[in-house]
Amino acid sequence: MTQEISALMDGEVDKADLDGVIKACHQNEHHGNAWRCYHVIGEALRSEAQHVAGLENKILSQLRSEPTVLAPQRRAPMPIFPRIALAAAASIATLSAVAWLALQQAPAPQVVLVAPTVVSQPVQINRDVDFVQAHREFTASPDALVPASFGATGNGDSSR
Amino acid sequence: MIDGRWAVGFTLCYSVICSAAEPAMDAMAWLTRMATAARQLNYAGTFVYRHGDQAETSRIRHLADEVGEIEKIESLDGPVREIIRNKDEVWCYMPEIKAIKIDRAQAKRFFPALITDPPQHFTEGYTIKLRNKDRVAGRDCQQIHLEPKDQFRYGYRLCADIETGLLLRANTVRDREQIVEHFSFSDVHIGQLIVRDTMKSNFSNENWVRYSPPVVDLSGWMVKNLPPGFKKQVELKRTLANRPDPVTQLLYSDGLASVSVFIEPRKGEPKETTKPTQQGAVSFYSKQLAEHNVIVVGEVPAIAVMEIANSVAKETRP
Repeated sequence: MTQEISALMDGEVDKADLDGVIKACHQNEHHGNAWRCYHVIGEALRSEAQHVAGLENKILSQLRSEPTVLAPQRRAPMPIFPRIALAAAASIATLSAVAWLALQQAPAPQVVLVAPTVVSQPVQINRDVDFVQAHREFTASPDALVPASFGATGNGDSSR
Repeated sequence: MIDGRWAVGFTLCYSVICSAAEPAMDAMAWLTRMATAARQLNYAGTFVYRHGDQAETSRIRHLADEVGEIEKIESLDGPVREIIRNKDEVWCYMPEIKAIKIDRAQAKRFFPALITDPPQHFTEGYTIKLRNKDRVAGRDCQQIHLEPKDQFRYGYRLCADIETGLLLRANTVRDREQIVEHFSFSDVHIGQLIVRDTMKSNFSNENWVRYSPPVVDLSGWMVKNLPPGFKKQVELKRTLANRPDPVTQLLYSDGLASVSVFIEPRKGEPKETTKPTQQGAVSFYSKQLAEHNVIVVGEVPAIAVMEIANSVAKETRP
């Protein structure tokens, strides 16, 4: 596995094995440590080591405390609704296209990060938006054709 | 030409008068006429779509000739979107991100082609009635109401062009009065010549990213007790953003209302089942089923998404 992790760092893992290796890093503490360790070594070799103890955890905890709002440069302020309201609003392509953008693994187009003023439960909302949007692709709404989510179709791994 | 129109008008008036004894039959004939008109006529216009407190305006051009049907829809507000429906394929162009999304058209309906099923299909769920005449986009139209026979769907109020049968306005109605979804032409020209060349995309899509449709897949999941008239349209396996595992999507429709059932493997501890939520015409409900989450979304009353979610089961194969 260590070889695979090393290959993963270099971006040389076969697409078919990618999930397995990433999962291993996540689920197995030993492999996870190897992943971090290799990075420290790499940074040290390239003389860019600025590894601060616990930095990862600090960033993660800060991220957890901050809602992530991916939104376009808006036309008009988005009203505050219960979560399903936002879900429906997302069928307006403005939001969905940008949410969609953020989800593609493809060469990342620019996503505008807006200060988190309106959304307090981002994960829950994203979750519902995904399903509502995936459904509305089949309804007559013209803009709903541009979904917030179609990772499978986008990344070409839908056959998995 | 004028003679022809009068003849059509006369036949219509005649059929409307004569149908007084059998109003349901005549309303059915209007449904057939609507379906044919949307498919076989050339038309071009602008329509508004409202749902919840959102509104979208689109320009549509539809051409039917010996080669087949082709349709071009352009968004007029918000980001530039161009949708081209060519027979069974739908291409959606998103120029600012240089991407095209390709979909199958079968399970998707478009205004004004909202009615595509044979009219008999609607009698299971709706009482179909002819109403007064009205006027939309400067044209006289015949109102046809589809009133729900049960609590599992909304009502639909349609108005079809008297001269051609084309659907000009469609309202989805909750509790007999509240409009939760609305399509309406603000301007439409019917029957004019449209040159096929003008139906091409406005964008050269060289080097654009292309996204193909999700995979059709039979998962073995089913809904045991569907409300009357609902039939399965398509079953997909797809990866949604923010979801780690592929999700099964089953799409059901009664010809007007549609409902998606999503099934995904559950991660972590089961959560409390909550009440269904609703916004505009869309109802949403999720529940846990053994090792899976079941999520039901649709343009139907909340009770319908709940009932459907509660009757999801894995097919038992012999």
